[in-house]
Amino acid sequence: MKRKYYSLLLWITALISCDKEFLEAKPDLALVVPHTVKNLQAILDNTAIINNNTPYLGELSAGDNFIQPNRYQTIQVHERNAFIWAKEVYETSVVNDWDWSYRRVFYANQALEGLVRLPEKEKTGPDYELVKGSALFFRAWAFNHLAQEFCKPYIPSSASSDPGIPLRLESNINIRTTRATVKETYDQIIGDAKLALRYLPATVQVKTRPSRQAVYALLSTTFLQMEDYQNAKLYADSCLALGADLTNYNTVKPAGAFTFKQFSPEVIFHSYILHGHGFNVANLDVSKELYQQYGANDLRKTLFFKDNQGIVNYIGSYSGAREFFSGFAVDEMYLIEAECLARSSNRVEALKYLNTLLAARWKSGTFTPLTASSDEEALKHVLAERRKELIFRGRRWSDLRRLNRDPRFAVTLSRTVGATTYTLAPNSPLYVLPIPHDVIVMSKVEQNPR
Amino acid sequence: MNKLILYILIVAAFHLEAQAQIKVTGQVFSKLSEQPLPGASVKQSGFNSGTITDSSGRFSLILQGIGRELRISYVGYQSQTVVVARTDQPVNISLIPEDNLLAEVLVSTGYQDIPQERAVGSFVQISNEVINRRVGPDIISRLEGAASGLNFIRRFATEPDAEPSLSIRGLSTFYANAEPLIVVDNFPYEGSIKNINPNDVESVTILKDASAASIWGARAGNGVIVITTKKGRSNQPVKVQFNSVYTLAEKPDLFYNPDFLGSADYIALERQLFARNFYAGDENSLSKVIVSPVVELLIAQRDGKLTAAQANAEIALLEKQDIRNDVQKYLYRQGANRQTSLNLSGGTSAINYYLSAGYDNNDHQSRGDGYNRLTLNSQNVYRAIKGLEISAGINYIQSKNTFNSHGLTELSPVSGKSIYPYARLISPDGKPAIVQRSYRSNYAASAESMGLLNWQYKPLEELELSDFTRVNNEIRINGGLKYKFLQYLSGEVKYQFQRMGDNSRNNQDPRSFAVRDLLNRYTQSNGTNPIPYGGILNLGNSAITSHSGRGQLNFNRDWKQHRIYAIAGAEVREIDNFKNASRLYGYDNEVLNSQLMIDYVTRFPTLPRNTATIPTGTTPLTNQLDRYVSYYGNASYEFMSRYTISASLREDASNLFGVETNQKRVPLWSAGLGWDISAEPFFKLDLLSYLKLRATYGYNGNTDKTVTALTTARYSSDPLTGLPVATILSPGNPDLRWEKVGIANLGLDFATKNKRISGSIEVFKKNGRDLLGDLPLDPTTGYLGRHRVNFASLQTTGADIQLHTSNTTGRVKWESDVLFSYVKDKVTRFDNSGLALSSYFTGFSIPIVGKSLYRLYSYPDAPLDPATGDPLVTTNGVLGKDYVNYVRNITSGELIDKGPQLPPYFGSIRNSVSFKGLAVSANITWKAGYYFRRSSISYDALFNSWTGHRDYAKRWQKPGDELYTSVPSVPLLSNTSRDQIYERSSSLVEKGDHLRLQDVNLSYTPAFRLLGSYAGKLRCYVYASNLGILWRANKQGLDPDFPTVQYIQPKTYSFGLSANL
Repeated sequence: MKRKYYSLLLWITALISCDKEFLEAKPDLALVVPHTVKNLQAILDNTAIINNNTPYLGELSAGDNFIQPNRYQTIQVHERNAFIWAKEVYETSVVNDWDWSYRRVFYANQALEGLVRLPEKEKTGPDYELVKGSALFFRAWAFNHLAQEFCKPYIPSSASSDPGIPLRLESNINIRTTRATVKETYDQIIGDAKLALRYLPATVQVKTRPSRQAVYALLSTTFLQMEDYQNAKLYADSCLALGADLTNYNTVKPAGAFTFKQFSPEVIFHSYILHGHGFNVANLDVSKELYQQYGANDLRKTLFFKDNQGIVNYIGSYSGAREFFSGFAVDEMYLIEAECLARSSNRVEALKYLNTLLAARWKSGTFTPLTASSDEEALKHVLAERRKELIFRGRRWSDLRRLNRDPRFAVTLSRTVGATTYTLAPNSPLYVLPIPHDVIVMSKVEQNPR
Repeated sequence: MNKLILYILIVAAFHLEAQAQIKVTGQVFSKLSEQPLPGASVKQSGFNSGTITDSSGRFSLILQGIGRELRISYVGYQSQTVVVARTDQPVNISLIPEDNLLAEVLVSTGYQDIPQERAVGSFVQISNEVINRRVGPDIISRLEGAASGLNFIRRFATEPDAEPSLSIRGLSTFYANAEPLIVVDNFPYEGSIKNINPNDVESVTILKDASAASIWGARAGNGVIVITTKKGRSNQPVKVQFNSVYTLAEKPDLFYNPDFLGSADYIALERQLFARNFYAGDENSLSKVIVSPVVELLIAQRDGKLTAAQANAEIALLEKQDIRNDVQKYLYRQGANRQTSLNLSGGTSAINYYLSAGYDNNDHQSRGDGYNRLTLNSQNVYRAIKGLEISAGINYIQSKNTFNSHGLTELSPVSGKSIYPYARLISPDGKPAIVQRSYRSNYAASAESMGLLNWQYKPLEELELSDFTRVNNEIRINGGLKYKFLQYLSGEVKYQFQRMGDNSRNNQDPRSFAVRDLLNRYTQSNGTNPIPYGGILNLGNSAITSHSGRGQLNFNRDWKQHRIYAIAGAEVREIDNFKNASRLYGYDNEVLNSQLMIDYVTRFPTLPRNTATIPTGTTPLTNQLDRYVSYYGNASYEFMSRYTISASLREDASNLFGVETNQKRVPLWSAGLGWDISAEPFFKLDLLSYLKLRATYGYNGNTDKTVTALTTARYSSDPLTGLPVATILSPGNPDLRWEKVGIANLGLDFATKNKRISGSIEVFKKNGRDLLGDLPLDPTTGYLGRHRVNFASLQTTGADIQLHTSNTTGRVKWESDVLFSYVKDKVTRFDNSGLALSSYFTGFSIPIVGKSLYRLYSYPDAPLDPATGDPLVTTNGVLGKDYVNYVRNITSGELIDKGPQLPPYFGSIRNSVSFKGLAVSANITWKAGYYFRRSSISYDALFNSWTGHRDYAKRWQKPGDELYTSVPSVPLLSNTSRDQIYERSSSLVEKGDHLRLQDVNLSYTPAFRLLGSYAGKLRCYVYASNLGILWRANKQGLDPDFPTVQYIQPKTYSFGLSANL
């Protein structure tokens, strides 16, 4: 009788003893659960999410552009508010500058965590290293964007106590958001970027992927933002060492509505700014004050702009289309070199970099190299050209935050909409955008005072 | 000592009485036909000798000893034991035919069969008799109005015969599957339940509470419908059942649909719009946008190609035309369904068998649509060695649908537009008429002169060319071993394989408009065509394959006053679902040849003016795999046949759940108590003969296949770089688990003396916890939007009452079955922040905590401007016409909440009267306490989509009308916000309450002697269904169960014959 029981039990056990794998089958076979280096690379190659639509509220607030009066009411509410530096910015709008930057961070974290889960034997080789280095770069880059809008600039004396941005280093959605300090924020950016250098190739074929050159550019701009001009120069040197060719604008033949082609030779890393209603070729009128600063023989005046019956349109984006380029290009490195040299009392070298750049921008034979009798004059030349060269590249807002701290370069912005004139004083708390309302409600983090 | 003396005395007394031989006389009848049964065997219990009834069913028997018990048996009838109370009177005994097992109702959970009177859970048994009362090709439709708590919902149906969604005791989920689990012969049924031949069904049990359903664990949350098919019985002579029925369905009434504006009004409006240059854009469009025939006539008149008199004469003709008449005449017909089934069953002591075949052939009311189904079924049980039972069965079903009809919807001239009301299908010369489609008529007419194929559309010709079929093949194979180790312990192993393959084939003839249109559009300026001339064959394949295995131990023992039933087992299931579709161009149906070299990459210029790639007609492959591993157990203990305790446990793991859930191993459980009060010695109520109290509590689960526990991504190629890229779809949720529904159920079963009134009353409370709801995430997480996690909850309370009364007994028997259900739900936890206000107006309105789910929200009624008939709304405190801002800024608090969209009260009353072999029964169903939104005129739809509404006639036309009507005036320009304010206003919300005569069945079972042995075994019947609404609360003549259909379910009449030999 007992044997009968055993045989029965055996039957049942045989039927139900399934190994773990039985339940680990994917329920929908069309869904790719990211678990190979190839899948993880595909996550980071998603340019629509990773490269494109970088933050735009800073650029919108930076004062080089005006919304055409008849278009002002048609743009979105948060764009209107950012445009006039209102205290309350978002009202009911979603804050893409925040959301999409943290989506980049989420993707980068997914990739980094995916790499950790790989079998040991796959944790090596160029494919693995490209994913690892790219993910670190993208995370650092996204944190850098966020730090330009949502926390105070880096001031060495208070950086360890000023609230920074939330540093999400894991993709787990259940982790509650907290704010780091400004110092921790920049430490993280620099740390991630320096680590990325170990994994990335010097240059890449596909300009939407980062290279060591791009990481140097990121580090250089970051140190510039921190007013660490020594390091900024060091990394600009490293960047230019991997490629320093400028495009001579005399050779540029505009075809179609926009001057440049996508992935133009000067571009180190491709990305573009969010194309909102407010920051849109059709609605924008370039600041006349700035437009008039371009010399008559400065090719940028015609290659960057189109005077459309008094309204100046911008057509010179390195994105090759209507979207405004926000990646890294060689020209920016020349300007950082020049600025750092001027600040370190080496105006001769500084002007050399600046004049090399400008010679590639002016009509052949018309350019007279700039000269300066003092370091300050040289610096003024560099900063004026920086504004003109890097127009609509997402740099102006950071520059204002940085330069305003120096009374020599501080500016008060002003705009007139209808009958009302709005101004933005240097170092105003309005230079730090509020944290999105949802985030405050859900995570109870500290709001930025405005 | 005294006791011993007493005992001796008693024995002696009996002994003395036994000495006197007592003669009993009596007569045996059939309970069903009330005819005497000749040849029935009558024996005294415990004795082998006996007698047989004579030709009039009479018998006489001498009783032996002190026994007073008679045992009467007859082939095809249940044997019966009666105690003779008085021997001085003849005994009348009625035998119950075996088909109508009234004595002991077994309810099936799919894992075990339980006698209903011992069950403590909420089971509803729908007997074979009730199932067979109705006629129809599928089993599920026969349950409508037959079970308490079961509601059929058709509020979104656009076709009256669309599959309804079923709900048992209301809702218990927000986003997951809300349909009950359907179990056929012990295993969950995958695929279309329409394949089951209702003639093969023995009974249906509905499991409503936790105690009944929790054995199904993570899939029981919406209740379970257990279908048990017929089997052979041991030691039963061969039995043959035959049933054949012919059903006739009336032609549909297209005039029911209020979304239609008659030709005269429509033309008058077109004239107005034409005068306002409304059609100028379409007329001058380079895309050759279609304009209606009347507008064409007006254009011709304006351009001087027609005189005013000519144009008016033509238009006057069109004004008399109504497309609905033509459609009804040429595109619809009387439907006819034919159903025949035959089965054979029987058994010896070693083998039971059941064999059946069924054939259905239906001609749908839509001309060109049809359905046929062949079902073959064989179920056998062999008892090879003592104690061992081997069962094996095979079920094959082939069904074929044809979809070749053309209805009003198919006549739509271009996507998004309705057919103009004055279209005609037959031209005055009697030939198929041209109906405008896709392009301007002059452009289409000039096609052949441009070297293209004819570009005109004649619906009646299309009807002939259409060749679209779908064939479904299903095979179910089941096998089992059951071995009795001991008298009280058995073990069984069951396995089922099911494969359902579905193949659709749409062979588009080269002469069909769809093919000609495609070919014409891709014709290049040099006359070449990248699409080869020929037909187009669209093929679709899908297959569901499932394997289910189960091992189970059964324990069943009673001793003294104790009785224990217990089962324990384990189950493994895998369901694989595969789907693809493809297309062949240049297809020749004669030789099966097609062109394979098609350029799907190049963007070609297309006519009239566009560019496009050739549509591939291929959809991405989908393949889904569900796997479950489950362990379960159920035990009940009965004491003195009065007190019952029962409990069940089930643990599920699945590849659908998250890692954490599969590791935690938290079982779903239930427990219940039963108390048969009437069995207590103190219970002495003459009125009530049976009273039982039941109480249960426990948890059922529900799963949602669309939510995944894994981080998932979808591949595409990058628009910038062309590299393969992945987009993360969901961030993964290791905590994903099944939804959990806690159910408390309290039931009271009762029967009065002689079962004149019997029934049950149940009250229940369901608490849905861990329900999937969308939670907005902190955007800092990097996952944007709402994330579906187990956090919401919903509470449902209700009551089910079922009553059976025998109003008269004797020769005329009148019985009533009354069902009453009440169900009310309340959202207890949900996050609706960030959801668009427009979603409040949908059928699945946004849940609000504290309110019931799916409320009908509306805008407050807008008064009409006495001067213009425009609706007036208040924006920023000012009454005016700022419709856009009104719609944009209104808050959910300002909306009017009329009530629920699903009926909280519903039920049915079935009356059956029988007299001799004649029986008639009618079922009346009702629903109450709910609301629906009726459609009305939308001027945007009227101007741009050519969709009118009969309410147009009630519109504001002149000052003063605002006192009588709420229908706004015709605006100069269409304005969707203005339309919305009216369409979503509370004046269009109607009460859904109604009373419906569902069906009537009249049957006759002749029992004349003339029929000999066939007496009482043949039945002919007439059945009528969809007989209409007897009363409704709305004054619009609308059927509240079908608020969105083009026509209501046509009445059907069936004529059938069945034999039970």
